[in-house]
Amino acid sequence: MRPQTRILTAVLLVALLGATLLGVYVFAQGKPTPHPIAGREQCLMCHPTSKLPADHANRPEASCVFCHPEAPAQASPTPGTPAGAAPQTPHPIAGREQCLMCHPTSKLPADHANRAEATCTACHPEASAQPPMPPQAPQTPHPIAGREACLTCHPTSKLPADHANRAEATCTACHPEAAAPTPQPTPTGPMTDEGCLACHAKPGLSYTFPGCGETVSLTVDQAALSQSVHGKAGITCTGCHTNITGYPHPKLEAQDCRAFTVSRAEACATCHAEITEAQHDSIHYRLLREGNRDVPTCVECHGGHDITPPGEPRYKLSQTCGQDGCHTSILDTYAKSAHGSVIAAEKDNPYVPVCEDCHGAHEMPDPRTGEFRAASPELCATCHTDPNVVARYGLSTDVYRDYRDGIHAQLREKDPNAQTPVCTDCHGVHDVKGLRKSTLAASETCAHCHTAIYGEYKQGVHGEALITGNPDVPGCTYCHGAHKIPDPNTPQFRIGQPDLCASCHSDAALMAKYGLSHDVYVTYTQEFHGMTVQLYKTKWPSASIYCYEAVCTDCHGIHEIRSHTDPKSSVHPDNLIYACRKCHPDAPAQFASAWAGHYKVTRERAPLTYYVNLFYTILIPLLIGAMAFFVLTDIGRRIVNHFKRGKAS
Amino acid sequence: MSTQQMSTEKPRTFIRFDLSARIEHILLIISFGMLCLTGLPQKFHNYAWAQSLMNGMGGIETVQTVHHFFAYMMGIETVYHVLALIRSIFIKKSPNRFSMIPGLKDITDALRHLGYNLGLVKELPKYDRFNWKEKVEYWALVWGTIVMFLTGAILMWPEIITRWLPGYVIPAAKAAHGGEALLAFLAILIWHMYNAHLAQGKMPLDTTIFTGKVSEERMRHEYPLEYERILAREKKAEAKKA
Repeated sequence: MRPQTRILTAVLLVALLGATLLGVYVFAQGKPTPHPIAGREQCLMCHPTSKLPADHANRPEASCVFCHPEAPAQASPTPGTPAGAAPQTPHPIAGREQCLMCHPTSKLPADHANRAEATCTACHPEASAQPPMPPQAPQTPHPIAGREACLTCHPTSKLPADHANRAEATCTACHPEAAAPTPQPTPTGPMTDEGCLACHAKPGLSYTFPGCGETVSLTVDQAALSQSVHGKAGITCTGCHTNITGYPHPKLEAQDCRAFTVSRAEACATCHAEITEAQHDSIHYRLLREGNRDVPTCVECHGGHDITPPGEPRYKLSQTCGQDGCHTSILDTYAKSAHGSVIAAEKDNPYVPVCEDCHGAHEMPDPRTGEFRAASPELCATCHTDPNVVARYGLSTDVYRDYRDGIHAQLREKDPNAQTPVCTDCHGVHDVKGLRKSTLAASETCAHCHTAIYGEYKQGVHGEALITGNPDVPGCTYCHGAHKIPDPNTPQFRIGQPDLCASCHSDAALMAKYGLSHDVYVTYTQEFHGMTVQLYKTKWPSASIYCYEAVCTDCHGIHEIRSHTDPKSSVHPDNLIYACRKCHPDAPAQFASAWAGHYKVTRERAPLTYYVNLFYTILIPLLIGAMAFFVLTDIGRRIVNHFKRGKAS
Repeated sequence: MSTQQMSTEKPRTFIRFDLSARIEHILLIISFGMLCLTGLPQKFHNYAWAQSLMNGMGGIETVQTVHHFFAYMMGIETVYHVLALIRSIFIKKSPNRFSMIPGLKDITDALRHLGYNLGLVKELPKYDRFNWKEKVEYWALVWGTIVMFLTGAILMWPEIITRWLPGYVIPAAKAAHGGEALLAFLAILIWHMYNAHLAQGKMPLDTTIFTGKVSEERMRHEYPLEYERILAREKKAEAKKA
């Protein structure tokens, strides 16, 4: 290109630029912006394309200010703003930036459509002098601090229709705190139930715990509350809800419903300190401290607002423990027991224990511990030694004393870890039952521990009969006792044993039923063994000297007592010598026939003895009679002689 | 058992029992008495008196031990008696060695004594060294001792006895032991006590068995045949001397 051409091109470009600038300048002539531009760079918000001159089409927003500069002298306030067209906001703007909440689009002038909220204040600046609030916006009669959740008390449904969709945060924009707040409801003075119920009686009032999202009703059943023990006693809401001192309420620390419930127990403690103290070591509270949140605190058992006196009726006390899936199966078992079945029928029966009578209402120790088990006889004894209680049911008041004297308790006394049974081991825990009506049931109870012995017993005549339901035969408790079970290894027990057997085997009617002799005891006491045992008993009533003489069981067996006709019996004629040899080890086979078999001496059964007895039965009176006769005649003769001589002299 | 003239001085006494016989009697008193005391309560053990008696003596087992002890004592005494008898019969050939043998005269004596008591016979029979009452007692003792020793042994060693005898002898032995015991006790009570303590001329106690001595008057009166025999023997001896 030639230099002249280059210069011409530059001149032309400069001329074009100048012409353009000139054109812009010419257009900007009549219309400078009547307002500051800073902060209002989105010109199209107020000056929509549709309102622009036709030739402005497609001009970018950023280019507006090229032609429409700010008016040189910005007069305050906003000179150039059309008078009356953009009214000033009659209120402070700070904190009320969401203008559309109060000034919804529908109420705006038609030409404001599509204007961004942020631009409102561009045209509507704060009025320099704050005009008073419109009279239709009442002031809040209470402090606002801490009560920012206005809609909690002033739900949307109760707001004026034109307040719809207004954000909670804007309430205070129009409803500022009254300069002198009215005392109702009082922020610092005593709270009244009316005040609480003003809100909490309303249905649908709820709270959602932030921690778990659980929603609970905050509505209080007024009728239940007024009928409750606390309601009747005139205890106010804040009597329990001590943390509430006014409105707004302090923020809940509890993150979920359960934590809140647990925390309520502290409120109970303010009045019921003794109970709180008592249950400190209870199993429920120990578990609670260990982090188990399923265990009940006060309200699970007693209720919240609807607390009625516990034990009205007493039946309810047990039902409480079985509710909400807590101790349901135990309660079911209990309901069928000797105790539970009575109280189910007589709901306020004071003589039958409900759960808390044994477990404590609040103390409630861990029932699975050795201590609890060890103490159970004393627990049972509280009722079972009281004639006012057990006599009503035809039960003995001696059971505890008897048990204490028995081997089971004695062994426990010597060794606290002894595995001997306490009341509940035989009678059941929650399914507690009497055992006296069924010898079989009682014996099977013993068999839980004494399994091998029960096995032997079942092989014997007594056991066989018992199993088939024969009520005549002795079960375990007949010989050993139920509660006062003596140590069967003592000399006392041994020496008392023949009498024990005789208590049935001397019963003529009973023995006749089974074709047995009822002379067994009498014949026993007539022979060596029985005689010695009998004499031991009279000499040493307390059995301080051990009697080794044979008693019934030494020959017949202890638990496995069989009929003497049973070839397996130890006293079957074929086996008898082995029974003899237990004490007479050198006895020859013939020795066993020394035993006359518990029968009275007859000519058929023991002829030799019979004839010996017969011999002396005849000889003694005969000989002694003859001697006596001679002596008498001799005496007679001497008397006669005496008188004769007297006469003679 | 010799009866000798002890002294020439009046009143004359005769030795009826030598020391050995007197000791035997004392042993018998002790053993028989203790056996009755410890045995009869066992027979009557159903009675309260028997029970308190046995319990007072230390209980059944002590009583049985004591019973066995005196049984041995009586056994030893019996053995001694047999040996003394053998000595008397075969070695010393005592003139009285057969004096305890009962004879027909004893039966007639007994009947006559009874007849006398009933007033049917005027005179008492004349007795020799041992009258029928004493013979009854002696032979009753012999019989009783045999029965008691046999049955007692069965009861004491039943396991050994039944090696040879059937077991049913044991209860039979017990029956016999008790029956015989009662018989012996009653016999002693009635027969011996009467004859030794209450009979004519013996109240309150015939001391002869303890002293061995018997007076000439009693010899003449109670054992006239022996008395006459002694006197005859003495005359014969004097004549021989002369």
